[in-house]
Amino acid sequence: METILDVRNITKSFNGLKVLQNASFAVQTGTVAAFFGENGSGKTTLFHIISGFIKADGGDLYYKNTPISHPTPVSVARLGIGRVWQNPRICKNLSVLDNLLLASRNHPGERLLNYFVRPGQILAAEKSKKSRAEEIAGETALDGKLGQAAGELSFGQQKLLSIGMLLMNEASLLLLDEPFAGVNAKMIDHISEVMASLKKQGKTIMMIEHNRAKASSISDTQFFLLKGEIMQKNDVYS
Amino acid sequence: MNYLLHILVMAEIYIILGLAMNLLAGYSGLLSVSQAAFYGIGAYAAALLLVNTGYSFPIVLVGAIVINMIACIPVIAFSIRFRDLFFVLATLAWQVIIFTVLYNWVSVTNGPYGISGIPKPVIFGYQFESLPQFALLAGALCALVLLFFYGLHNSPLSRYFQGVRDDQLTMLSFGKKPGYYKAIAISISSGVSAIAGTLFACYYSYIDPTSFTMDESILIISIVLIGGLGTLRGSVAGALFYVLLPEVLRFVNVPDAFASNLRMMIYALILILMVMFRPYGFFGNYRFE
Repeated sequence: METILDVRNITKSFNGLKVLQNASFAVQTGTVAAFFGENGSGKTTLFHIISGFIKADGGDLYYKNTPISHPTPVSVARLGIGRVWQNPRICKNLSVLDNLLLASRNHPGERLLNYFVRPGQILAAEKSKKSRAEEIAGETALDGKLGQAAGELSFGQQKLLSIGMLLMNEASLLLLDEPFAGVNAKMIDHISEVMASLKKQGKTIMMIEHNRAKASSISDTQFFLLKGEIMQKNDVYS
Repeated sequence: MNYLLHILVMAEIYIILGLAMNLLAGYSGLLSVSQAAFYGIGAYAAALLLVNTGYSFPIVLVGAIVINMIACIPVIAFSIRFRDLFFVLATLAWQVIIFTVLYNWVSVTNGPYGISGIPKPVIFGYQFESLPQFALLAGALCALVLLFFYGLHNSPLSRYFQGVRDDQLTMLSFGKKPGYYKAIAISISSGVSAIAGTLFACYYSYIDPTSFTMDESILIISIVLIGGLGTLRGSVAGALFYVLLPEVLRFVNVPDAFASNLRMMIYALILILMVMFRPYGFFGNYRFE
């Protein structure tokens, strides 16, 4: 099995407080990795660094054996690393369909110049992307809600929409920050099913989660963060 | 009849300004208070080209649009660096700078005396001299601008503008650069404002800096806030409301000494009531939080 993400000796401090200390681990392609730890143990900081939202003080990131030099949110997203935030970041005034289309990768309609030189391509892409968005809405149980404003969805449905948007973005590695937080048991089961389905499709998932029982049941690898250091689950309990 | 045609021309000019502002505030969430500056740059560019070069109206119109799109580069630089309140302050500074330049660069703008003798539009030898002819020309340009924004509204680009407005982190998370879409929105808005400025300059045959003050910028913002952000009919309704309301209030039977002030008070009261009871405006689908 290939390594999709290799994190080596990442360190990060805020005002002298060490949040991550030589954090190193590897995640294999097509697996689900869960990250556990107390509040303030550095889990979200780690996700921020991987997704390019904050810079590490030291250490290296490798995606598919290639170093990610100077990661920024845009460059990381374009590599195929997608992020779902703890509180779903969606465009609440846009419809579910428009949110999905907004996230789609390489839509020719993204670039102004294409409206002058390739208008036909934009129309064709819009049609095919809409059809893909409908498929993804089906996979995430949001079919029937495509025309609804995203802000009107329940919290759990907004999380599903965020995952759907990652799929539209054709992300290979999905970073999910507390996917089960703030949703009811039925929705937890539903999100778990969606994650299992994504794994079957070959997607790799990294998730931060406090619901250790549920997360352990669907993950292949567990990492435990303790004061900014990473240990594999076996290290903690052995 | 001339009175009604004058109102029609003013409505057409303010509909264009409202639509340009709506692209920024309504679609892209950029509350610019320098819209009068772009309106003014467009008007001055057109006036100077018409008076000094004698180019025909279509060439002047395109020239004014291009000059305005170049002049908006500093605002694009602000918008990439700043957002929300800081963007408002940056555009406020731009409005003050442009007004000061128009007022003090006497060798080019003729300063407070303004530019007079701006010729009426001539297209392929046909002169739009009379009021009905001008109303027709302004109406045609207004319809073209409406058509352009209708197309833009239904294009994928509109979705990215709204993405910038709703959540820039979302845009970044999916590999889209919000600054790119802000730059496009500001350029288009600025270019369209030049059309309104050109019409204004040709209509009055005279312009001076007092037509392009901060008050005018606030008025353009109030047009889209009253009409409703994020919809085309909102901008049209807001412009009609702004142009027609003072005319309706003329018929309030009060002594001339108080009439003007009373009209302004009634106008302000309606604005306050709108903000309190209809924060989405007449037809808006979005409001600033």
